[in-house]
Amino acid sequence: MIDCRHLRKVYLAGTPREKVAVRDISFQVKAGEIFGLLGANGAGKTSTLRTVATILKPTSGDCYVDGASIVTEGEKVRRRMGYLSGETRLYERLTPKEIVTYFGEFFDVPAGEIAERRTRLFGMLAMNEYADTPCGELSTGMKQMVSIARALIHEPAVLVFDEPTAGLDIFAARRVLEAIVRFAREGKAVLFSTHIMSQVEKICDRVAIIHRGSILTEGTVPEIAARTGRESFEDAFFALVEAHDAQVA
Amino acid sequence: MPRWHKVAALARKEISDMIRDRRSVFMAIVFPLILYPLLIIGLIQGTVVEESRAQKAQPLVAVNGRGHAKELAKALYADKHIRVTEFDGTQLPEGAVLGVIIPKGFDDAVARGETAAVKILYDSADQASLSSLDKVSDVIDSYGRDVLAERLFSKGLPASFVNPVKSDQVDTATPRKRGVFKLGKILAFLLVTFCMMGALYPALDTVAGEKERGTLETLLSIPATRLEILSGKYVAVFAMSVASVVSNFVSLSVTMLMVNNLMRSAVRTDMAIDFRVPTDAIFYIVPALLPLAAFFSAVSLGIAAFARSTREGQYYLAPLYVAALPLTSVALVSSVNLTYLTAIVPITSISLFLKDGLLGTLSFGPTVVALATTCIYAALALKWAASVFGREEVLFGAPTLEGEARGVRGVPTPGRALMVWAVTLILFFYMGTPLAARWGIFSVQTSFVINAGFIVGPALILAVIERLRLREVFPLAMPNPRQAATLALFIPAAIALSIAANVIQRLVIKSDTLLGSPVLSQSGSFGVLAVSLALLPAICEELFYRGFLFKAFSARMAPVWAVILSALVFTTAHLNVFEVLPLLALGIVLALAMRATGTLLVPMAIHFANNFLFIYLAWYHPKMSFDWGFAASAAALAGSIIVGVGLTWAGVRVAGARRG
Repeated sequence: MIDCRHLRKVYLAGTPREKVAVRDISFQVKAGEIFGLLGANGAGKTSTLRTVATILKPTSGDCYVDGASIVTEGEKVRRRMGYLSGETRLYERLTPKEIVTYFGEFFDVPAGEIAERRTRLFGMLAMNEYADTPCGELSTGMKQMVSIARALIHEPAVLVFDEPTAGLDIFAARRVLEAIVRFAREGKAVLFSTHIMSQVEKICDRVAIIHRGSILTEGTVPEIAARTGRESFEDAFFALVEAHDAQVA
Repeated sequence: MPRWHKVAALARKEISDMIRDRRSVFMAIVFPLILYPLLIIGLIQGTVVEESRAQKAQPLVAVNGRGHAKELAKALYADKHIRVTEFDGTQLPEGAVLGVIIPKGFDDAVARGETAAVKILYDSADQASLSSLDKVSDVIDSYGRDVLAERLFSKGLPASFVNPVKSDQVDTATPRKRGVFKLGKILAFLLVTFCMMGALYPALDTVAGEKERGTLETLLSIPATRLEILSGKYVAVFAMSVASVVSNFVSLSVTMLMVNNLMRSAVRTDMAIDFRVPTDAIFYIVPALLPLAAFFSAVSLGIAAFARSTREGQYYLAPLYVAALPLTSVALVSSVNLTYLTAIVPITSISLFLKDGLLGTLSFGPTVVALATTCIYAALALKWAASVFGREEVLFGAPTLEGEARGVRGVPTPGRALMVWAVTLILFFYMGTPLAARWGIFSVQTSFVINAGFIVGPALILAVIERLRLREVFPLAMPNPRQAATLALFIPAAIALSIAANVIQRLVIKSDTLLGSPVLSQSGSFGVLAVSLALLPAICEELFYRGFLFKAFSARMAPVWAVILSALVFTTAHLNVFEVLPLLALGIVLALAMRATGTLLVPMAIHFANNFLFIYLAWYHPKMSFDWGFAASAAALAGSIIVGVGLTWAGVRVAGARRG
């Protein structure tokens, strides 16, 4: 479903302020799988996900989303993908119903189907209570549910969620994680980034550790722990990052 | 081409979001509806009250020498508009706003048939004193007419003796025309201003506000191109700008109708003014303001895209407002009309089109040019806005991670360089004049302090404090033979373009620049001028403008912008409207030479050669002028532009283009 090959992202390439954010990374995410991208702030998670979502252009390499290239078929990629991040906020003056309807129109979903899908999504995510309240009056958790409904209105095969629990309380975060697991069970490929290790251990089928723009290792949580010879996944993470920093220095 | 159904869907979303933003709606639509009735009716009522108060007031007038002019004094005391007291002729008494001094022998002079003078002391900065002056003058004039009538009568002459010719002035303007004449200018100004204001706030909200609220990324994840997304926003901003104009027009029309009704009963029929906005004005306003709204919408969107928040955007859009204001205000000047020349000036053209349209003095050719150029400017502005909107670093900001400063450490930021430039200007403003007064305007001492102290000094201090790389900021490497050879191309190029700029200037503003300057040709000696106006500026201005400033710009922006902006700053710094074009041309050639060769010694040599030549001409040929007649000027212009541009291009090629 997602097949990234040698993806590289350099900001302001060719200028004196050039900054390499993502260095030659490759990974695959299958249908029905939750793939976690774990890294500290500034590791390159957001740049990777924004590039996969075609919001940023890759400097080199390519990524295929449900068969469509992010380099040459950006619009096809966006049609097949639901994108969400801590940064993807809402129009505070519009209501959840209006936002989801507008986004249905943007994705060329027929008007009748928009209403049908909206009703289903609002029911599934328990949003009916605040469907007509302007988003500016909603709690952070409610807003994130609206964002999820917005990202799913066109029924994408692939979901790219960049730190979707950022800023949420533990109850709201739990609801979001449950929703992600449900989408994967429905057969969607989920690419999910976070810096919270417990979330990775809890819901990810496979995980890649990203640091300074490079993927240090990739596999299931027990595989990575075993590979580094550490007991816990957290210890494994720090061991890998420290080893990489020592190598760079 | 954008897909219009996508643009329409996006525009619907933008408009529904926008009209719920009370701030934008208030500024664009509600504010004008409240503003005009309050402002104009309030102003009229205030004026009426003030005039009535002024008429009823009896200012105190002090008279000295009452006994010297019995009849005149009697008339002054009898006037019911003033109160009269006496004074000693030196200090006005407390409360008196005007003094009348009647000299000894006034009545005798009148009796002898001579002119008798009265001295009036008044304060031109005091409204009460000015009003009293009118009243007292009326009394004196009335007395003078009585005396004249008596003198004519005693000589048996008729009153017509002193008025051999009389003119009867008949105003042929209709009340409607008088109203349009008074209204046209201000109406044009207001409509253009609100057309701009109507675009500014929605543009800020829809782009900078979108970034601030974190919704931009959401929008970029939909299956639409950046151009389609921008177009949706553009349509919404354009609609708000037009709505603002309509709201203004309606509010003004209704208010003026009310004013008209108020004034109709108060004014003499032959002086009547019909203030109603002509109903056919809509035929001028719509075609004029649609392209202008399109232009303002695109420019506002492009500028707002650079801002990370609406607050930051307000700072960015302020210069647009400041630049547009004088261009709009041109309509307020009665003598300026829409011509082929004014029709190509952005904003001014539409402002004048509206004014001339309302006055009924539009001519076909300039009208077409004004509309066509505004459409072209709007298209160019939209193209620019689209290119801005397509840039990742503009939409998401420049990365601020480690390594960000790699490659630019050692060079100031453009903001810092401009701040230092502001310091140089402040030093020049406040200390340049005393220096020139002390040592002379063209003396070597004055030039040295201004150039080395005010221009290079602050840049050098900052470079040392911030530990910038001096070799990077002020590159003074000896040019290699290839670079040195470019001087043979760049120097004649700079001179040719200077000639072209001078010829254009001569054709447009009918004034020569440096040549023929009597001040210059009579100052000091030629050697002194060569040092103070050629050598020192060539060294110091190059260190600052092509070194410090151009290096700062080059490190952060595309070469073309670094060249253009550094030339604009260089031109602005000279604060001389008569040298704008020659300085701009010189600034561009110098920046290109710097970029091509990488050493300041090359632009220094070009700058020196250029200044030296013009000082030489001004000194030895002070009468020389670029006033060559149209045909010769056109030929010289074409020739010098071709030679100048060609040689500059050749210079860049010979040096081998390298990063500045």
